[in-house]
Amino acid sequence: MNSGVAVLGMMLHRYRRLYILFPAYLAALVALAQLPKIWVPEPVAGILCLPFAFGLLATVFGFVNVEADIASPASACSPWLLRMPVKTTTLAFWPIVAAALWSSGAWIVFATLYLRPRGIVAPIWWPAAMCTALALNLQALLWAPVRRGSVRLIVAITMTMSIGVFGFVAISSGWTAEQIVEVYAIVAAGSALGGWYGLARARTSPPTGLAKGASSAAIGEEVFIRKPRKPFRSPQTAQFWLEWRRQGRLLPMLTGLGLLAISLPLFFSHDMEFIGGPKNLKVNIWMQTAMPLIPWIPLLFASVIGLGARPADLRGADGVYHLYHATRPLSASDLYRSKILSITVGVLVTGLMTMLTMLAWLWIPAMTGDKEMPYVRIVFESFHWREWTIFVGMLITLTSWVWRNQTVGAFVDYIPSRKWATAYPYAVLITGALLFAMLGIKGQFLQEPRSVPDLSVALGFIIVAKLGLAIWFAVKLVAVRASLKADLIWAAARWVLVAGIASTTLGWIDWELPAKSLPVFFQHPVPELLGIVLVPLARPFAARMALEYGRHR
Amino acid sequence: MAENILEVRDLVRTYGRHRALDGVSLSLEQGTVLGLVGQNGAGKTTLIKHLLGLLRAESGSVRVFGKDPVADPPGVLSRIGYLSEEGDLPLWMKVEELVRYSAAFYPGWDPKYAEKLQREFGLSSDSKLGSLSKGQRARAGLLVALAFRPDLLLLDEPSSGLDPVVRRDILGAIIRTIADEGRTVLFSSHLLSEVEQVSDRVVMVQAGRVVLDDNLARIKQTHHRIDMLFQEERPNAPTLEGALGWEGSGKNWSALWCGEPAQLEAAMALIGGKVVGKVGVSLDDIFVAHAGGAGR
Amino acid sequence: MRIYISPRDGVPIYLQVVQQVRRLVASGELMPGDELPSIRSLADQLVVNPNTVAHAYRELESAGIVTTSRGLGTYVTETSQSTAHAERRAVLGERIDALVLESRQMRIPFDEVLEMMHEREAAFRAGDELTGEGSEVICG
Repeated sequence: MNSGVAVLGMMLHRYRRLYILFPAYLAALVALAQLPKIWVPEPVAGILCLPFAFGLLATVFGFVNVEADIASPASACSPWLLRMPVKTTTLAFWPIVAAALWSSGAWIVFATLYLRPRGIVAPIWWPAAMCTALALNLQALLWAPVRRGSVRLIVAITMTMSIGVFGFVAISSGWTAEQIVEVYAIVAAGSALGGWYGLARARTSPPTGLAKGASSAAIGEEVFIRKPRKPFRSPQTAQFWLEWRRQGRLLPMLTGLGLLAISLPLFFSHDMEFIGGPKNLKVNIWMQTAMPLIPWIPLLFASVIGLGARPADLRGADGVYHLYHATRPLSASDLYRSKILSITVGVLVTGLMTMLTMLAWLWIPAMTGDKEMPYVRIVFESFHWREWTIFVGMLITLTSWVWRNQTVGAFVDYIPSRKWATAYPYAVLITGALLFAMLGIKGQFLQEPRSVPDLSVALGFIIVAKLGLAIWFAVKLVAVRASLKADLIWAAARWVLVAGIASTTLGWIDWELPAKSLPVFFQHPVPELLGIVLVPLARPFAARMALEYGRHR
Repeated sequence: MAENILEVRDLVRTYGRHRALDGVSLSLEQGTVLGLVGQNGAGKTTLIKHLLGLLRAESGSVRVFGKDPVADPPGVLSRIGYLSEEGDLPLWMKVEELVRYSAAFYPGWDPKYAEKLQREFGLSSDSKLGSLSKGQRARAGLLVALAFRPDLLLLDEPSSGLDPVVRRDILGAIIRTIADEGRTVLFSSHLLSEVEQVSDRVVMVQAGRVVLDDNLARIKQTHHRIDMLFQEERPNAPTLEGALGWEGSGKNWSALWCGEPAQLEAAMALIGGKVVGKVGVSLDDIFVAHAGGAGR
Repeated sequence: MRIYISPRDGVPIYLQVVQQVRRLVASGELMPGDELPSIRSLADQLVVNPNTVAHAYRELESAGIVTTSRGLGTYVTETSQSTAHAERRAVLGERIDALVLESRQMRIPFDEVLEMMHEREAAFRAGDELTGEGSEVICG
């Protein structure tokens, strides 16, 4: 037992600041909860909850003792730990137990000593079980060496989301807390076994760098030389191909998987549901439930990709952009353009895939009265041209949103400093969470008409900041490389055009749709300002500057 | 009158308080092989990064083919065949994809020559770079650096960590490049025996400064190990201009001496000693002597 | 034609090539009229800079050992033979120097050394008579 505890101690010692900070944070929360409620207003209390999720995740990663990339095939457990003279069971047992106790304990403390005193009666046991299952599952997934790192990445994202979502879905479907805890306990137990097995595999498998079946032509062996394909038409075409292979095709691939996953139940469930209406309509239950989710799939993936959480580390220690990519005989503008082009093509392909999937779904038979016919015919018959235009407008908006998220994330590729590149995804997540908190916790704010002028002012500030940043980047860029002036002016002109279109579109939606179907804050001039805010300007300029700096320190 | 391939003048580069390059000047004519040597951290890779435009000149100037690599990356980089120390090739690419991708950037790409090299190096078209051994990856990098017959072949510690067979391939590539009309090679290396074999000129960098910059033949001519006999016992090492690194005791002392052979006798007479032995030294010894002498 | 160069040696590479060509001519492996490999192929073979090989060939040409005609190649000259004899004497001279030095260090008087040389030479002659070979084999 001593050696196991010692190993655990070594793991924790590496991240000791984290293991001191997180409990300190919890203690601070508990202390705050003892204060009278009026001293700590709700929005503040809500925002204070945010570090909980991040802190928990970070400490869980500490129990995994992450050393390698999530998307690399090697086990994430540090090699020196694997070499420790302890039995695999000991090596696995203590971090697993510690992770389980820590994550469930953190939630229990949070729920009973912070949320309860503030009047929020949150359930205790099943979220605790959920945290345990999440932690152990991450351990299992990250400890095992796999053949393809990308598979691990996808499975990790899927499993984490499923575990997280399952509890909420189950509760709203009427499951009891005990049942949910049982399910999570099974997941946790399975993950613990998987983690032990993964560690065992990691200890006995060959070290990284010697991929299974590494091929190198033995001396004298026939070298296989294939007839070369048609050469690329130009350097820009070649660079586009590179960007497509590196990143551009990621979104269509992930979306394809997502669309496939969400369509699977259609093959099994043919139950219909009565949704009434003038024609006594009965439609497939799954289609009814899941159809609205389809457009969010590419958006979700685009946002994740746009966070810039990329497996490969693209910069050297001195901040110089990756040696191979920086020495391509292309101008920085061409490099950037190829990237954006590959993203655009990827988004268009994704959009097409999504639309075709939705269309295919609509072909599922629905029943009106006793007649059975594809749902799409019913839709066609009941849609007016107005609804069509709105539908098309929403499609365009969604596609543009996907494109936007990916494009702003592109500049993370170019950020010269490793620290900033790692910090950016967290910054985005935290900002998003803050916004979400502000909108959610003080939801009433957005329901009041007075939110419109307040929001307009806030959006106005954001626009000014955006323009100011863009101008600053542009000035610095031109000072460094005068030939970019024309490029930047064209980019700015394009932005004005697109922002104008976005602004007009949103404004038109506000105009056309009845006030009841829109949120209260969505009134002039908020939609117009929102349109301008959403179109990326500062970050593409920042990307160019980052590339310029990264390539020529 | 061909202008110099490389022209570096008074280049300075500081990282915080550390001067990585301290007024380095260098020029390289067409058709020569320049061997850049120096200890780890002496500034070789920093210098090479300046030539590629990856680092901006803080002060001083860098001109490659008469152009500033920072101002015109495509113009300069499309004529340089670069092989970096780490490899850095994208590991997900297959060999044929790498060849096809690289071919697009260089107008002078010779597909037949590329195929010949691929055959010679034993690189199968559909092997992924990530599954190749380090030596094979180095060969793949060498292939795409050579196949367009670059005006300048730039190699940053190409042999580090590689087996002798691959090293021979790399040296052979350098020889072939230089033997073709009008092409130039600059390579940095720790393996001084290799530098001796193939270089025309050797530049030695120490703590960001150039301590030696001459033709290899002259360097060998002007460095010798001298055995000396003194008339009286000397408790400490004698002082002699140009001597790097003394060994010995009493009346017998030896040192590695740098200077014109003709001036040796006179210099020895001044300090009351006689030369009893003089042999040539390898580049290794010269390097170690200069590196050790940096403290003075 | 076998030439070996050692980069770790203190001797410059071009000089090593020069010395080895001279030895080959002296020993008779290279006869007058034989062609030396082209600069390019020798450079490839030895994995050295072609300029080094060119330098060596220039030295040999100025010493009269070889002659280069544009486009035709590099050939061993007739006059190389006379220098060959001097070369051989020089090599032997070095050996004799070493012998003398060593005998001094071992404090064996020179007369004794000469006596030993006569004894050894006699033994060789006896061996030659047995096998029926002459001493011409040793010279080129």
